[in-house]
Amino acid sequence: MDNLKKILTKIPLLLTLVLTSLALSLVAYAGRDRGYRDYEVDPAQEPFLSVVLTGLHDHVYPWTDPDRKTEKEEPEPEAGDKTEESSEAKEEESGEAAEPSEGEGGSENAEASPEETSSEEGEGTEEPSQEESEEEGQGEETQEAEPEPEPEPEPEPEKPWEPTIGSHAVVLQNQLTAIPDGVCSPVVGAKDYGVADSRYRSPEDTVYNTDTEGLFAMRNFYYLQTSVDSSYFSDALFIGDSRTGGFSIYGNMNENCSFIYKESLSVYTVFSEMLTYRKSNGTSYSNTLEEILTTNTFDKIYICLGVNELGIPDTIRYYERYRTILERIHEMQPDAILYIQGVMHVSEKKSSEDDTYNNTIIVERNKAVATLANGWNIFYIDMNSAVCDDNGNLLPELSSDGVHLYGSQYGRWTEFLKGHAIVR
Amino acid sequence: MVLFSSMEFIFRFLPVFMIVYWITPSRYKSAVLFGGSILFYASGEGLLVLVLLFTTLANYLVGAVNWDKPGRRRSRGLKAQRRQYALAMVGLDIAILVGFKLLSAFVRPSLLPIGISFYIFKMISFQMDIYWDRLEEQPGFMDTAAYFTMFPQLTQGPIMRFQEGRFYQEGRRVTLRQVESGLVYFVMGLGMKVLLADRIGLLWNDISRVGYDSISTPLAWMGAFAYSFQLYFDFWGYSLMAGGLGMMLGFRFIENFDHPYAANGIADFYRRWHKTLGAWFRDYIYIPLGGSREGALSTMGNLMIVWLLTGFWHGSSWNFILWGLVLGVLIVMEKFIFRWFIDHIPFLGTIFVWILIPLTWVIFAITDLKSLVLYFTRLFPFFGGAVTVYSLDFVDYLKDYWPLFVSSILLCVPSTFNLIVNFRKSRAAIIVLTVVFWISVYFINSSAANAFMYFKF
Repeated sequence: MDNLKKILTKIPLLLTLVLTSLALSLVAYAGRDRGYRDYEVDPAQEPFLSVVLTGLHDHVYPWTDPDRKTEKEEPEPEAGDKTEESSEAKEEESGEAAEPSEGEGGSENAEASPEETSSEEGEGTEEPSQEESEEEGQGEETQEAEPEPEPEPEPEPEKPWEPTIGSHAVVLQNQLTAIPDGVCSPVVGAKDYGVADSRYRSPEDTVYNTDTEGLFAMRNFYYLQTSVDSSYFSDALFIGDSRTGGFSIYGNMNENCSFIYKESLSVYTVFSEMLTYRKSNGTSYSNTLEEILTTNTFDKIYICLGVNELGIPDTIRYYERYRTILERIHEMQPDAILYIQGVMHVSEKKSSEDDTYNNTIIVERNKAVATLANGWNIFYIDMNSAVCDDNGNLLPELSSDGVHLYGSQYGRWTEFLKGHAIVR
Repeated sequence: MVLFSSMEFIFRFLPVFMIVYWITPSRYKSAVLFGGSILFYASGEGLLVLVLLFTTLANYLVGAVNWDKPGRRRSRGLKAQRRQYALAMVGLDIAILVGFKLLSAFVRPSLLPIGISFYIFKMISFQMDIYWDRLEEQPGFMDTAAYFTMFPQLTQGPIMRFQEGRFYQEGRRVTLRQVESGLVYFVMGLGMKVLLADRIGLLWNDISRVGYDSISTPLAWMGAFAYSFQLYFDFWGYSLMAGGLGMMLGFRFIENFDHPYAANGIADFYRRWHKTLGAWFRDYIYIPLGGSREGALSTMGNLMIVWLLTGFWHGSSWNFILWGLVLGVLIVMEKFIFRWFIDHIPFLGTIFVWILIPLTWVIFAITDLKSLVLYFTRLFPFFGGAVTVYSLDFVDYLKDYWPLFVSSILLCVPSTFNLIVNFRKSRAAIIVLTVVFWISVYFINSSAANAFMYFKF
């Protein structure tokens, strides 16, 4: 016993590290059915205690209720994880998506049927217009609707606009009316180098359709894009990731313009993290988006997210999340024009080598969220035409990492926004 | 897994290997070390392990044939034969090293076996030390193989000499004191790399992202220092980890850095920076060329050759050659012109180091000539160049990075580090090291879970 004590006093650090490892393993074990239930550990590559550290990173503790956690904030999936789970999950999700009657309210179901029928009938005539407005001549996408035969064809009545929340997102059918040219910017397409990881994408025939009522419904009245000067942005807020951070510094924007951003921000974290709130005049401090939106009034809100979540499956989930964000912002700033900024493409080098950060997935996701525009108070703008070559690749001379513009190039973005503004 | 700062290495390979190694009887420890190191290397490099195995075997065989009791009289034929064998093997080693460097430069970067620059240099020193009669006893196969491949030194050095490994003992014993001290160094190195080098390095990334044409002059200098600190603490941290792991295996601590930023002049800096590489170039290139014994002109020539080779050793793109060239010129100038001033004006040499060394690291960092010139026009704006878009950019960055700059500068002062080393057995130090260890592991874990650590936008 004395011998053992002698040995142990010679190795205090080793002893402490072993004991703390054991303690953390116990914590991991204690939380295995609750907080850490959804974490996976590859025992050949990492210790079990790593769930505790990962949990700490995600603000998940042994006692956290795993079900509440997923509801409140979807955790970023572990990227190293090579399980097939995600593709299963995707199938499940798209299965759900194809089922329009899955919506929350009973009234939803009733309303879904007339839309479907009309899509069946009008398939031939309406598709070109949709392609025109959304695809910019890429034409590689074949949109096949799978309408369920349902009687009672009835034209969709014009409904008074009201922000109803909770209508279901993905409906496999064609839209009734397309937003005319000149309202939203077209989604800039890009060459597909065939490297995109299918886990992050959605089935090719997915059609993201606009609603017939509520916030995302299109109306018969649309505002047209026009050119403005920099005073337009004096009551604007830009929400985004590091790209918006760069834009806030190097975009040479109007003095009173506001930005709220954080590196690696995504649609999944935009409301939960402390962000940097910065005015063009240089003042900046930390705050949450929620706080900023409740204490200020903005006339225009530009959202520019979507790069950091490229590695999170999948497009439908991204689309859904984007939609809730728009709803939430609209609730707090009902009079503001909401701009969905399409994700800026990456360079050819990146796009052709990276299975995650490539233009194939970016274009797919841009097309998805572009359908959320209603031409009334939600608009889609896509600045890629200002920075990309004919294949939709970010020009290599504009960026060192193929993802961010050089400081000297943010002016292109500014100019694009000035040339594509909505005045109501 | 070839990274020490990975969950797999710290929590899987290391504990399992160490337990096996410690319970293995002394005389089989070299065999276990060889086997474990090959596994370690193969897990990260796959088939490129064959290059390591082939060079290990070839160098052992030639060494075994060439080894002769030092001081024995030899016939002229034997002398000639030893010379031929040694030169042929060293020639083959160099050909393999240069060949793979060119392959990686012109075909695919992934064709460069990790650590080849280090293990080939070990092999050359082994071969030459046998030829020069520096090995008293005939090296055995397992000892030699363990020496060439030992995982603590395999990927980034230090370039230990065979004699320093003390392989001649009857096997190898590991004491608890060595294990504990080794672990202390390992944790210190881990903290330096993960908490300091990796963090402050992000500033350099940010600057490349913004583009050199739009940064202000203060930010350009901050960037030069940030990159210098990143390089220093990354490499010093790594060397501490390697030295610590070596101690845990029963070897003595191989010192690779001796507070270079406290040096008195550029030449002194490189006597303290990556010491084992500097010593290698001195013993196997500079001195055989004649060193400084044959007059000023020849000394200058020898210094330039050594520094050009050092540049090429670091990388095959031209900026490394330029980097070596600039350092060669600086060291020659210092030796023949500034020596007197440095010796007579206090701190002048250290001031030289703090101004000139970061500038040389900028040359080291930027592989593209046009960008390099651009960066220097930002460092020295009176040469003209682009216009700063946002002149207060450095204030923003200083707000985020000042704690890292302060800790970096503090750690450059030798007494800070020595204080930590002297008090490493105190209770407070154990607590601090434990905290450093777990914070580092937390960072390693969250960047692994994210897998795209460098791809956060």
